[in-house]
Amino acid sequence: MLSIEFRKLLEALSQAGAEFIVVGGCAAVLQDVPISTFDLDIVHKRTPENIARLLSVLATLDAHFYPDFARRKLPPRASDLAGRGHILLSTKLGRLDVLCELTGERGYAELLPHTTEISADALHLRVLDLPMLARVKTEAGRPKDLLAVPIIIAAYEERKKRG
Amino acid sequence: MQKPPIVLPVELGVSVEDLFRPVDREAVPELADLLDLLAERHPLVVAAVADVDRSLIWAMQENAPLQNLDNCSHMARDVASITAPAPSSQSDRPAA
Repeated sequence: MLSIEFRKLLEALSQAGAEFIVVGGCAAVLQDVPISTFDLDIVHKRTPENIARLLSVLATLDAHFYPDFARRKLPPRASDLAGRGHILLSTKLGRLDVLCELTGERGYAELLPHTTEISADALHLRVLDLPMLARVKTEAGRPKDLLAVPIIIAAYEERKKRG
Repeated sequence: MQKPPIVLPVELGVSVEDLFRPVDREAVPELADLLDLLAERHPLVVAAVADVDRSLIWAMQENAPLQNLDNCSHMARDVASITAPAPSSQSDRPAA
């Protein structure tokens, strides 16, 4: 059965010193958007040092490409993480999508000014803020992305109202 | 857009209009460009903001962010367990 432990997955990535931004459904949920998601999406910093840290922790998580019908368990390579694509991985703590860029060629550096920090216990997360999350989903234009946009907008409005 | 026929006792101090509201553009001026883009390309998405049950958002606001993430993990696991193929489905495969 599929394991889904978003918090443990984030803790593992953080403890390894990997630099990343939480995006996608988990970023929305962390900011009070009532949606459900089945994977953790991150955008990582594509420096050789950070890619090495990420590869190291991904190995401990038994991360491999999916779908994997032949059960070959192919792990991601440094060249994959240094590229521009979306690397969809299965780990022992759940699905992890490692995204080099979001819509509009937005990588870690471009997204960083549009993040908010969420901290609890020893966990310090950089999370894509709701206005940028709504924008990238709108620009993506896929029906599944557009479905979340009204909920993100309403949640952002309520969040501002609460202060 | 027609509001759903939800019954809310007056004593609650909340109306259906509070739960289901269109976006207040003045409250979110930083979304102006996005709302203009949506109005041009996907007007139904803007209209759908009025169809979001804001009580779900208020409930999320009562929790810490990581608590909401834990609840999301739990929900996803529950759905995955319900939709996982039954073990007996293996035997349904034709013999090699």
